[in-house]
Amino acid sequence: MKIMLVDDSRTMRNIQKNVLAQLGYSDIVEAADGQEALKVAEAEKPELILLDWNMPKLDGLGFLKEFRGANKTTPVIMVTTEAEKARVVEAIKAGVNNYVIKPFTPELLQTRINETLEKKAA
Amino acid sequence: MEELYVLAFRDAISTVFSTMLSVEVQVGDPVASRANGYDVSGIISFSGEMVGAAALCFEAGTAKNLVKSFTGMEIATDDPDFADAIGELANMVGGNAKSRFDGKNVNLSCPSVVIGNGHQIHQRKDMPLVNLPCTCSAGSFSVEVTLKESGSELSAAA
Repeated sequence: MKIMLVDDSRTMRNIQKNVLAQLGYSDIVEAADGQEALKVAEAEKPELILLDWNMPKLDGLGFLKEFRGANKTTPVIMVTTEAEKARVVEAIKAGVNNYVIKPFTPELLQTRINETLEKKAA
Repeated sequence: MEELYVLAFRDAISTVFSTMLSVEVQVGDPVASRANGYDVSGIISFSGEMVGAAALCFEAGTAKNLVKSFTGMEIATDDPDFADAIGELANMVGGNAKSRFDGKNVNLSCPSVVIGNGHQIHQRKDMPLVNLPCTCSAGSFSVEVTLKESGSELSAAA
């Protein structure tokens, strides 16, 4: 399964890559902002996206709205510091499938990834 | 600064460092003055219903220790990944703190990082400065915060 990590922090992408490796996923593509993510998504067709919110050029919500215009099915997990209820609701309305608030434990991220993929498979 | 916001940062610092670095931080009582000088600072700004900024300020040795705990690697201070890690720490502390701002609609900037021996962070002069002294196994550091409600007059310093 190809997974796309979208985060302007390479540190966070590396941490997420380590968690994915523990789950057995190694086919990873990366983007550092929403604009780059749109291009990578078009070229690589990822089957799961982990998406930061606050990024330069185009933020995660902007990416999601544009991405969902053409793709309704690929699951997207928002991984962000944005923890307020209003922000979570905004992200869900825009089409996010699951939500992880930073800081997170590897176990929590693993749980969210697994439950998102199980829902997709159901 | 209202106690609510001081507590928000105190809890955010403890939560972020404990969860992401497995480092327990003791946050001391806030003081209203900055320290003499830092080597590494990660800065995040707030806008919306609250305005201001928070700066995580370290000596180089402490910053290196914390980055190693965060990334699992020794990273030189002139490596872009070092600044990236410090910026992400500032981002998470700021984001976690603002989630404790009593439902206020607050936006977070992308983080900035300053690296240079003995620098000071001069934040906006129209707001009181609160300096939270922190100690942990990696060393000591400070979190300097200025914050007020958007459009409000100066509030009393903590």
